[in-house]
Amino acid sequence: MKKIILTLGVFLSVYATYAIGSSNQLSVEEDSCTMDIRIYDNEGRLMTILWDQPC
Amino acid sequence: MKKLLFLVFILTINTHINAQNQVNGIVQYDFIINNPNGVSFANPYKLYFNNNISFYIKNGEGKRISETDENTMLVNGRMVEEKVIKSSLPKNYVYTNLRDNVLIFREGINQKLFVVNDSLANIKWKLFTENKKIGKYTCQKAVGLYRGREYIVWFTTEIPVSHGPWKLRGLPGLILEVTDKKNKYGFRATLVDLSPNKKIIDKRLKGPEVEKVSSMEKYIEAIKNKQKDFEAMLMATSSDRDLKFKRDCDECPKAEDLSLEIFK
Repeated sequence: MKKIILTLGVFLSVYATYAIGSSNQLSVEEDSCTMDIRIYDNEGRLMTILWDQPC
Repeated sequence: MKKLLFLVFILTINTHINAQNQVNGIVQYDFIINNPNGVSFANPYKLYFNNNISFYIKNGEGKRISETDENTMLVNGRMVEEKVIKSSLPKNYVYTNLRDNVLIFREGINQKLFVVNDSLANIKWKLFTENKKIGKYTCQKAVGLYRGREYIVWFTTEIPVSHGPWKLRGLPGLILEVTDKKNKYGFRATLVDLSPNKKIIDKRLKGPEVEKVSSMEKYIEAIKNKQKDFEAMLMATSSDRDLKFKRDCDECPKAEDLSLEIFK
């Protein structure tokens, strides 16, 4: 019985570590989000486009 | 006594005829900008005029007239944000006086104001027999070249003045609609008032008070460097020193399309 509980404990601990790692990885992916920014002058002329700007 | 009465009669008739020939009006136009990414804007302007003088001035903020009105969207799976740079400069105008051969305009370019003594151009219009109705007015087609762009215009002799929106003029009737051949720019009359308040007309047509005049050469230089200076202004005001400008794409704006006038 003790062995089973110990094994379960180790398994849960390993899983928790894996889950936290995946979550961090996801955050890194979110940080790398980029977008284009179209910039118009006051009359609405598209003057330029900025690219690879952080979201 | 008979001679005096005859003179008074002739003078009265003459004044009456002159008053009948005098045309006063206010026309509202939309100045349309069609961008290469498919987004269009309409800018409201007003043209005040009598037979000899016209004053064309901006009358409010430009509005997006394309279908979507979102600031952030997904285009081909890529996130795109849109920003409009507001201007704190006074309104653009064009003042034209045919009697004194004067054309003065004011235009803001990249947050700098230009007031320029321009010249009245003699646009060589080619008239066509095609007609169409714009509102209640029958309009005739004409095509003309002005400062690098070919314009297809519709004018009406039912309003017998040779004015039009912006610097376009010189036809035997008021210009109500304009499209540039590449369809980058256009002007469209949205409201015509031929019995306006005389006081408003007189006030608007008395001529602009100009404090500082810029040279035509400086204006041409600003037009030629419009995109370059705009990007330099963005770089100077941004905290990000590594701004990357998109080039040579289908939706990318071309420097020569960023103003109505093209100077080589």
